[in-house]
Amino acid sequence: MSATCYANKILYVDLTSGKTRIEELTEQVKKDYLGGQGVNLKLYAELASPDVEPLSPDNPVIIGAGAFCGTPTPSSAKMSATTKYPINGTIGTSAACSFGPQLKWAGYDNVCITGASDKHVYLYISGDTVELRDASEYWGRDIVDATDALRENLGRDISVICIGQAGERLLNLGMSLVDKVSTLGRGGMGAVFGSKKLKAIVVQGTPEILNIANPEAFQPLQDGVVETLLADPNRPTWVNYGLMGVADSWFKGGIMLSDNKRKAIIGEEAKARWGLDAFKDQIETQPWAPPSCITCDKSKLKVKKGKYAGLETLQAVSNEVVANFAGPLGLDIDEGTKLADVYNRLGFDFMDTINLIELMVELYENGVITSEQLEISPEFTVESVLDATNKILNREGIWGICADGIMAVEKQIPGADKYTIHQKGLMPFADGRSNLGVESLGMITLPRGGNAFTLVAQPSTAIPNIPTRVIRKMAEFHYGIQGDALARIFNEEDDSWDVARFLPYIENYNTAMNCIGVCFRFFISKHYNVDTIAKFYTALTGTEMTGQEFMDAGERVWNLQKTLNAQTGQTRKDDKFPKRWLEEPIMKGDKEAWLEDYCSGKRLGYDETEEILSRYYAERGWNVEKGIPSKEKLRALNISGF
Amino acid sequence: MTEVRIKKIAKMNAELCTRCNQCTIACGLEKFDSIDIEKQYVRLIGESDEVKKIKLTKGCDLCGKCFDACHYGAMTLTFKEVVRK
Repeated sequence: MSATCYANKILYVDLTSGKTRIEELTEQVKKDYLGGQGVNLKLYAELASPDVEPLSPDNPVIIGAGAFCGTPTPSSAKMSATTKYPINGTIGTSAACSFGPQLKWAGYDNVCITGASDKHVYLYISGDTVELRDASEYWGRDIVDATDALRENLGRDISVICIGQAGERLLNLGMSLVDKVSTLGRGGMGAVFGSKKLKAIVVQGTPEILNIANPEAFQPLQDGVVETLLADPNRPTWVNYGLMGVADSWFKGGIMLSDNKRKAIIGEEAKARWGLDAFKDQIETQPWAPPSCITCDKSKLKVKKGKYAGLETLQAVSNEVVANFAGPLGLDIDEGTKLADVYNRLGFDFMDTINLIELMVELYENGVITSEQLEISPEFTVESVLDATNKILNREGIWGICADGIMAVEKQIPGADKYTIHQKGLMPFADGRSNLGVESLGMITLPRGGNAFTLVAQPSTAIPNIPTRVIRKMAEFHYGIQGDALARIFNEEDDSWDVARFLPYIENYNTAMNCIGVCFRFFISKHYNVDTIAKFYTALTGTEMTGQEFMDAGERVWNLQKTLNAQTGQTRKDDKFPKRWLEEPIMKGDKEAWLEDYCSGKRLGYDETEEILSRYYAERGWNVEKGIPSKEKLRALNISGF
Repeated sequence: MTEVRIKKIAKMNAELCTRCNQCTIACGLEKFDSIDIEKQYVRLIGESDEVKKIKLTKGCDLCGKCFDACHYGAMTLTFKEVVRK
């Protein structure tokens, strides 16, 4: 039995030879990289060369459980998956909840998967039993069916990462699901699995597992967080409706967008059709929580009314059926739920795929492609969207280009680049127009592209006009920012704050949270801060940690991630603001919303955004001209070998 | 002679269970001093990912730790005074 929350084991599996080996997770690696994403990236650096092709056997997939996974620390179920993503060639990490605790209970902190099998397999892990098993009965089945079949055959106490047909057919839009619900691997990780003929990874717990180094210190910490979580008056809404709990605010702020991100969905009519009351009226929810989570946001949804009454589907975030499908496409909630279910089953990245379908319709509307090329009705219905989705899946006609992602569309369809919005090939989840907060700037600086990594800052600056004093309070209390750094971020003279200089600390914190496996969704995250996390770490592991050391570890991992991508050629030129953010507004009713400074409201153009990036790199201590870590920074962080 | 006993009343509602496993972890830590999902007296019984029944198995002494750990209302433990003359 482990004396701490770590299993202290890394499992290596070579799919080509079928050989496995176990190595120790050393104290130094734990100290420097904590666990989860951090250790994943460290292992990736050791296993892969920078020029590896994403779909080659030499591109590893590394799965890591957060350091706290498997313990009763509230909401500590996050795992990370690291690989080189085929949609854009970046090296990065996706995270999901569930699987992390079960991996620990199965006896491992990380699993490194290399090579490629010559037949369809799934990887089964349970203590000393590590096997590549025949997946021929599961290959070709959708994620829900395949996972259910695995549970039926192996027992229900397993945890499963599984791909669907999108990954099997090597679409760059293919991702995986963890336990049928938690999305993992935007950018084509499903295709990486598919290229290895790996259908699923299954873990099953064993009796020999973990412990807590100092239970007497741990218990009051756990009790403290649980108490504040339970006292949160919003908790019942989060538990029962997930992020739909804040949906009504979208129709004032215009956060949900349609028409390929040209129009904000606002007003009472929109709220009546897609808001929380409409959702409650049409959908029954049953909360689903991964191990340790006491304020879950995942649900089994059951459609009560409409064409798809009776449909049941597990969804990672309840609002997705509205925010990613029904709202943007102008469909009813039951129709959005149907699409969400199909996308989960097939293992499609819904953000980028729906974005591409909207793009193709806009290309048709502007004469870039013809109706013969479009092949589907330009009026969105469930049928037309499913038609387009199937054409992408089967690589038919012009939709076959979409299967490789938006950068392929730009390259292969002349004139398309005028209408695209992406960051390093991924659709930015937070649009910077109307105000450039940390979430939307974070879409630009994330080495992996426009993904939702800093989407969950404290406080959320996706909400406009938060008083500077509130942001400063969070900077000090939540992120532990002090002294000179505070002075650089906050300008007391004009009561403003600098998004470029605040963002690095949020990135460092969220990265470190991924390393320990604690959820940083805002309704959980607000109950933690750097100091409580450090105390948890000390109690769980027996190794002393301070809040600053926690942030330092996050900074180290972020810099390692950026350095790995710099080695592939990623530099400042890749941290581009989408052209449409800079040159076109979003229409909020009849008002124009441009890319603007959060505090002053001043419009931001090419020069201003370059200055923002320069300040961001400077705050990180990087080479400002190249936008990558300097040698001095790597030395200071004890990152060597580059 | 009057005897007063405290009766523990355990109620389980599997429909409210989210499978967060806080109950099983709490039991393992309390009774076996380790986070051992095989060794606990609380069992979540059902098919696939459904929980049809929450069961306390032989060996459980109703210490109440699993009930304290359940924050979804699936397990509640109440106390009733029973007076015997």
